[in-house]
Amino acid sequence: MVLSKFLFFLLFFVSVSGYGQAAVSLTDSLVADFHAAWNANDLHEMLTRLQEDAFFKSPHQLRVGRAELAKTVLKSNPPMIRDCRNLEYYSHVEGDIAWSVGRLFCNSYDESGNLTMKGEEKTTEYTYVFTRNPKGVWKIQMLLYHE
Amino acid sequence: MITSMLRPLSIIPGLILLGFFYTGHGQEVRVSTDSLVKQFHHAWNKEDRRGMLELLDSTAFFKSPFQLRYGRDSIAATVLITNPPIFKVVEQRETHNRVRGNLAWSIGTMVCDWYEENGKKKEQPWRNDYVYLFIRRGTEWKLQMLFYHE
Repeated sequence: MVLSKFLFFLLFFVSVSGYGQAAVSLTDSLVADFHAAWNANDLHEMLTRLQEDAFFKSPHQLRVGRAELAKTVLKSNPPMIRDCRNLEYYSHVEGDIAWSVGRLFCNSYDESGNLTMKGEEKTTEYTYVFTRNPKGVWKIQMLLYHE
Repeated sequence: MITSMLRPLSIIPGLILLGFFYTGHGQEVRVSTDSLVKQFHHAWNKEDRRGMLELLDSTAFFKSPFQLRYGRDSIAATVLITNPPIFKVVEQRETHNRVRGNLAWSIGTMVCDWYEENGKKKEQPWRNDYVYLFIRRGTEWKLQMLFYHE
């Protein structure tokens, strides 16, 4: 009886840790980290994750430089597009450069805060490029989106 | 008299020299990306697959609203076969560039003549935005990422 309980816990532990290791890449965790700040509409936290010369490119706009992003898309978009979660398709890390390609699922809200569209209904493809600074910290260099 | 009239002209060589260095400096960053883009488009327009592949890094990826291709081999077997006969780049304009250590990128707009399968040119050209990312391998810059927006 004790042995079977032990085996059950062992099996549970092994399966959970195995799942966790398989699902999370360095880039996926960097993407999720940025989206956590985005979902919280925390401009300061978003900015700390961006390189100073980062840029944002979507079919609708190009914003170059962290300061410009702060004044525009990082101000206007998080209140309207949030609860974002991502599914990474592809990850590559090489030296001080890394990128993540995947799909974003975000809920859309109107100006009054009413939910207008669920993330499953309208998804966006993303490509994020990261660079590592001399202190060893990874930051976002490029935010690219396809609708 | 003539000497005093010509004296203001003596500044011209200095201005030319200054302009030369200024232009040279300004272009130094731009050329390293814009000329790389042009080089790739030149090979593309000639449907020179080998020439294009030489400019691509082995880990390059291609992303458009229609397809995503990982790796030079995958790109070579797909989009570099199907697309160059259909789209010919006739115009490109770089709007932003940056060189950052071993990385460089170019953002711009391009216009392509668009051909049907029978070789007939469509009336409307195809316009899109591009983002090209380059990585330095030794002394050479290689295309790492080709990203297109309609």
